[in-house]
Amino acid sequence: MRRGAAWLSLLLVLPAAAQTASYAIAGRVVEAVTGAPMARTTVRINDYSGRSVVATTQTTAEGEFRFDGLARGKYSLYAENQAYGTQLFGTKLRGARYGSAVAVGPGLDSEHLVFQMIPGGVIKGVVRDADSDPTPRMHLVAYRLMGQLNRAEGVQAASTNDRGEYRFHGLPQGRYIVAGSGTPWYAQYSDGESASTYPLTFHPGTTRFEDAAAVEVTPGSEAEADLVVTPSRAVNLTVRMSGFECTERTVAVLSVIMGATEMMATSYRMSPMPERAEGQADGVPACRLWAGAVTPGQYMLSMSGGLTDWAYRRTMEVREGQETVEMQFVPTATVEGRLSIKGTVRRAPMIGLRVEGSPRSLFASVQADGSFRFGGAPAETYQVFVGDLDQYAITAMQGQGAKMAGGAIVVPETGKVELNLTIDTGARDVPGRALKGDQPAAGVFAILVPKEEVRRGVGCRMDQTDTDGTFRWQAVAPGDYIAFTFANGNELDFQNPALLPETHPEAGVAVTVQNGLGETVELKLQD
Amino acid sequence: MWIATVVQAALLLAQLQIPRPVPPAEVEVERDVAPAKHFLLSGVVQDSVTGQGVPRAVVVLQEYGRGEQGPGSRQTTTGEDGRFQFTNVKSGGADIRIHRLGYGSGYSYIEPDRVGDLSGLTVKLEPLAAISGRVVDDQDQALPGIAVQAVRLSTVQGVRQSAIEAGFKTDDRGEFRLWHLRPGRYLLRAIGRKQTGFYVGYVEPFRSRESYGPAYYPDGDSADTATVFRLKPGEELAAGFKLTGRQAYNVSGRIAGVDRSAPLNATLLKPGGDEAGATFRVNVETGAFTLTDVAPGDYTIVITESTARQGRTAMAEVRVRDRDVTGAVMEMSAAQDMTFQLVEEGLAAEGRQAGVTLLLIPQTTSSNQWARPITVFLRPGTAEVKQVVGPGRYVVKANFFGGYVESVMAGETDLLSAGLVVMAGVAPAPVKVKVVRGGGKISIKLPDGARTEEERSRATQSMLQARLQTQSGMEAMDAQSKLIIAPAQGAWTPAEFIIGMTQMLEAKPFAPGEYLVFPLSDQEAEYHDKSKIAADLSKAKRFRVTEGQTTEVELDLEGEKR
Repeated sequence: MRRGAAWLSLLLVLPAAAQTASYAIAGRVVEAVTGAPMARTTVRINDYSGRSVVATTQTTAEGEFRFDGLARGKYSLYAENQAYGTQLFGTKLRGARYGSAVAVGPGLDSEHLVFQMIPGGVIKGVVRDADSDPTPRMHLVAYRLMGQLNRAEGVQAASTNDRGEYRFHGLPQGRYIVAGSGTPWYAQYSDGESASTYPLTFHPGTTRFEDAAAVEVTPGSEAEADLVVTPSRAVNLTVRMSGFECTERTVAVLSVIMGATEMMATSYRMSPMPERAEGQADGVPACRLWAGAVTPGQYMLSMSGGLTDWAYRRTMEVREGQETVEMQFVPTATVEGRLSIKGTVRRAPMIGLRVEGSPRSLFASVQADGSFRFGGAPAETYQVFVGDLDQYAITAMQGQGAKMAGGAIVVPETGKVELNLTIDTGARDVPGRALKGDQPAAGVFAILVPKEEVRRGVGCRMDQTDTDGTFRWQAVAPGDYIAFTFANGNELDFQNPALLPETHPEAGVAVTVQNGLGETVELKLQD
Repeated sequence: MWIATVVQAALLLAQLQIPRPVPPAEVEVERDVAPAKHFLLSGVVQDSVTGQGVPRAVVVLQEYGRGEQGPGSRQTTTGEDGRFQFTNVKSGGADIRIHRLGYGSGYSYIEPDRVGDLSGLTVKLEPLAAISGRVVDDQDQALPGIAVQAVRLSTVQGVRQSAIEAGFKTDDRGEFRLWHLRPGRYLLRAIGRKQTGFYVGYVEPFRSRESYGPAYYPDGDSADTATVFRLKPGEELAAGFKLTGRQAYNVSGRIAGVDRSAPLNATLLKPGGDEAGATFRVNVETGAFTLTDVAPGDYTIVITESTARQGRTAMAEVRVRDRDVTGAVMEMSAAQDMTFQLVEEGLAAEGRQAGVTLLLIPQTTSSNQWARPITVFLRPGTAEVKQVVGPGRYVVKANFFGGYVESVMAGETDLLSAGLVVMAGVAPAPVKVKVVRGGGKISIKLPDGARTEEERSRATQSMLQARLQTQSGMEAMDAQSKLIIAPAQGAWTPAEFIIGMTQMLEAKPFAPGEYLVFPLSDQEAEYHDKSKIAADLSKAKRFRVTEGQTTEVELDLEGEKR
């Protein structure tokens, strides 16, 4: 079972089973690490979609809960307890999208559930300066390293107190990088022209991302990561961008680049000031962007558009002592095209471009005539999707002005990319069942990858099996596929699942999806 | 020493826009007319609690009249032993300011007629305090996400003022730490809804309908009944809360006239002005709003625009019982411009240099942008002064050195005795300030030793500090020993004077009549309420002010001092 956005869930509501037979969902809530029963925990069942609440109860002192009088069907089961937060039954990673719905009905045991509440991990530490003085008000960010590409995504922010202490908590298990930046307390009394700042510094005390030490977080553990920071001279930076006409509403952001990744969580907002070449009839407009006390380093300079569309994106280096930088405006690529819809939709879906290997996405709405436009798409490799992640099956995709690789689209630095998409609203959901030996395998991951490489960017599907071992791949276009099962697929989610046929060639099973009702797919879990 | 002090005080008075008292005729101010000399200045910065040297403190020396471009400033850093040194310091006076992380700022000065090296200057810095603890529910389970706030109290002209000095939301263990708190009087409160799970991801958290607080440490559920505690310099206070959750409700409705570009803040006030916690959400397009986590009770909702200046507001009363309140209607209206006018009773234009200073002191424990004293200066001969005054209740004070203030009328109400109430969306009546040029003066004679050298110098120092740190200026004055003078009959309109600075008092005429004078035993007493100073009042000295004369009042401070 997979959680989507709320409006998507509306479309997934299964007809309520109008049966008189009465079933129960019962079990115990335990702490996943210690196995200790969890008392005073709120337990709730919703319908399968997760949309509406069916019943709520509290666990006993032994952590037991019970819901009676349920009709046959599938239910989402949630538990909530203070700092553990709200968790979905069967989730293997805190905060993940996937869990297992509970199936109730004849021959199904839904009364001996063990609900594992996964405690959050903690990273804590002390930030000090070179004199061993604690540094308060440091801005810290915990970045989680995701997948094989080690993409760092900001997960939580924190700041230090008077003792230099910080604490990230409730973290999902994984590998983390801790980075801090800030201003020395004495900077405000500085008599120099440029104040000193603490540049983005990684645990244990390096400004080079490559030298950062990763911190391992396991559920319920407390990892320590201290930082030592050294001040450097900040730059009051002016970027003169010729060829760009800005207004005071133009959004310009200078964000730190860490390794290959841009850290939006650590960025400077730049103030724009329009500038017109005077005395010239055809004066070339320019824009002055200003930011105070910028720490020297590698940055990505982005200008709006909107929040996700960027009209300009370029990396730049801010150097100590260099206060003015001249740049020439080169617009980022636009992606525009037309969406053809086979079948009918209730309302025009959104088109999404998801940065490969990252949860970051751009969205564009579809006009009445089917056209859509991304005003500025930074140069990245994107997976294309329609509706909330894979709501609709893309059956055809043609691009011009961009390389298409494995079904993904490689947007260049600048230029115009034409993208034409066809979705098939009649594409059916493909039900399946995972087996371990001859028993249903609950809580495992079933992944579907198109056989044709060109469709892999858009045609992959993933789901976690419910308590009866069943799963459902949404909106699958007819064609040939390769199916995989894994005990845990959470970390595969943000990678490109299309890589699986290469990385696990022996694990795949051929599956053909046809139009109309097909058979339930049966998959055997690999060891 | 005496000469120097008078000079300093006079200088200060001039800068505070208060008429400068004429120095006693027999005092000759001697000036060093020789070319400016240079000297060596050295000293030590010490922790006022431990007495130990404070390392790595920034010492800023600002010399008066240094260089062609006016005062020059330079700085150094103390060594590991807290010592610092400046060479080549010019005669002519200087300010010394000291900053160190974890300490309040320090101040010292060098007299203009200083000649010769100055070593052994000691400046003590007060270490800042911290409060830490844990918030649990009635079953000792940690409560994460509860806001804990240190509310610092001060007294401005006998009116209690409060401001949130620091706030923190409890972490996953229910723990909090409030730090870098200035010493002083505080209330500590906990308020909010528990927050479950800090990493939400794709699963929407349950909406808890239990709200906690406001609760005060160590006891009390309102700012009025809560125990006020005093935080000492460098103190580490351990404070915990055990809170019982209450079913909370939502208040929703619509705000008319929302300006899309100005973000809105909502404050929920309990009767008496104490702040209650709630979470506010508003759709700036439609004006639809919801306040969640509202415990049953009666409230005033105050909506303000969070702009730097005083923007528009809306107010509404709401009563929450056992269900959600829907359909509340509010309207944003511009903060009202009040007009103030000076009315002089048939007087010639002579001696028009002095004006009237009106002080509007808000009476609220809320911490919103309106809760700051407002000063209105009325110069004789100007038609009227307009001033934005936010909604609320104010104590009104008036000062006039060219005579005395007879009344401050808004319609039929004398604001000096009744106070000022401004309602959101209601145009306030114009204020007429009636002054009389004349009256009699009061000269306070203190017993020998009461106005000691030390005290004078202390008063001067804190006045200097008030000038340097305008924000805490009011409070610096507050810390001084105060005299209260009030008319013996009629409405209770007390005025305060600092004992160390009685020159100010001597410069100010009073309306003829019977008066009471007494020193305040508790400098932070809210003396507008007679019942809070009953003991002082019973020992008050009675005297009469006569037109055109100076009344000498001898004050016996025995047993009242310190």
